[in-house]
Amino acid sequence: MAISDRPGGLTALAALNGFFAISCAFPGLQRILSSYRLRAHLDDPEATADRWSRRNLESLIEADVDPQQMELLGILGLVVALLLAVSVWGLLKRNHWAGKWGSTLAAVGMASVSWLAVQVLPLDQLRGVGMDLVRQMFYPLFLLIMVHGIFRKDLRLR
Amino acid sequence: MTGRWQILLHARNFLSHSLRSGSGVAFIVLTVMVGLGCASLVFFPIESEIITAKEYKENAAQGVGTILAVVTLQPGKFSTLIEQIETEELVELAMWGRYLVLDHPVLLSLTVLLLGLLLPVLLQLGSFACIAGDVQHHSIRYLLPRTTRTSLLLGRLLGALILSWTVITCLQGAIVMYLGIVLPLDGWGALIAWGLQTLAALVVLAVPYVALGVLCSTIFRSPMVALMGSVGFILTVPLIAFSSREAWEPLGNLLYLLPWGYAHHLLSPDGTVVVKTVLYCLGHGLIFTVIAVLRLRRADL
Repeated sequence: MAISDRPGGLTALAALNGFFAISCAFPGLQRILSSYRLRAHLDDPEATADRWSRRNLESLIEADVDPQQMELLGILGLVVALLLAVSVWGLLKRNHWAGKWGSTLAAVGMASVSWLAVQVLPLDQLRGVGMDLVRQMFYPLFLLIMVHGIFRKDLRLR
Repeated sequence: MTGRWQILLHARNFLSHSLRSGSGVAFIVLTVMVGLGCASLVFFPIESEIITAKEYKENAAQGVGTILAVVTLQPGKFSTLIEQIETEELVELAMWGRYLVLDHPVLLSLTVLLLGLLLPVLLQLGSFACIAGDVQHHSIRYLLPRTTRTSLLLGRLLGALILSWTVITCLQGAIVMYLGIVLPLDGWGALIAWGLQTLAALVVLAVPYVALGVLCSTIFRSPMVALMGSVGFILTVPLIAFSSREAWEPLGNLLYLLPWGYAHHLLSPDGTVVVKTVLYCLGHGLIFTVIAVLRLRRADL
C-alpha cells in the first residue's frame, strides 16, 4: 500500500473541522427546536408546562426575538455544519473544491453565525460570552489562513 | 555554509514544517483556544455582572496573595496561609498581590498568572517532535551528512521558540485588544504597558519549557513518548514537591527542578528580582539545551 503524502496539518485541520461540525450542528438543531417552541408558546402560552422553559421563552419574547430569525439562525448553523463535514472529506482527499472552497465557505459561515447570534439573541443569553465569541472567531480566521496560505499548493486545482 | 547560517536555515525549515504538521496545527489551535478560555474564565464574573470591579479586585488581591504564599513554599497549611494574608502577617506577599491586582489591570494580571500555569504544558506540543519525529522515521540520517548535530538541534530549538513566542504574542495581543475595547476598566496606556511587561514575562518563561521539550525529544525515539515524558515531568515535579514537603520540609525544594518554584517572580514589583528571575529562566533553558546537545551528539541514530 502506498504511503500517503498528505501533510499531517491537513489531517489535523480535517479532524478539527469535524469537531467544529459537531459543535455547530447541535446548537443549530437546538435553535430550530426553540423556534418551534417559541411559535407554540406565542400561539398558546398555557401550553408550555415546564417553568424553566417558560422563563426561557419569555426572555426571548421580551427581547423581541422573532421565531423566524431563530429558525434561520438554526438552519444556517446546520448548513455550516454540513459545509464543515464536506470540507473534512475535501481536506482528507486534498480536493480543491470541497477542501479549499468548502473550508472557506464554512469559515465565513461560522463567523456569520457568531455575528448574527449577537444581533438576534437577547442580551441575557449573551452576557459574559464576549471572550467566547472571540474564540469562535479565531478558528474561522485560522482556517482561512491555513487553506489559502500554508496549504495553498496542496489544495490547488488538479 | 557557516554554523550560524545553518542554525537559521534549520529554524526556518522547522517553522515551515511545524505549520504543515499535525502537531504544529494542534499546538496553535489548542494554545490559542485554551488561552482565550482562561481569559474568558477570568472575565466572566465582571462581564456577567455577578460582581462589581471593586469587589472583584479586593477578592483577587487576597486570592493572589494566598497563591503566591503557596508557590513560594511558605510554612503552614493552606487555611493558615489565607489567615496570614488576611491579617497581613505575610506583608510582602500581600503587597505583591495588591501590586498585581490594584496597581495594574487586574484582569490581565490574573489571565497571565493562569497562563503561566498552563503554558508549560501547552508549549510541549510545539517542541516534542523537534528531533524525535525525524529519528522515528530515520529521515535524520539524510540530514546529517550536510549539517552538524549541534546546528540541527540549535536551529530546531530556535524554530520552536519563535513559533511559541509568535503564538503567545498573538494570544496576548488578542486579550489586550479585547480588554481595551470591550472591558475598559483601565486606560489603554496602562493596558499596553502592563501587556508588554507580562508578554516579556511569558516569553522568558517559554524558554526553559521549550528547551525541556527539545531535551525530551532527543532522549526518546518516539515523538509521543517524548510528549508524554515532558508533560509527565512538568506535572509530576510540583505534585511530588508539594506532597513530599508534608513529610520533610526541604523536599519542597524539588519544585526548583523546573521554573515552577521561581517563575512567578517574573511579575515581582522589585526590578532586580525580575532581572535575576530572567537570568534563572535563561540558565535553566541553557542547562536543558546543553544536556540535549550532549545527548544528541552521542546518540546512535
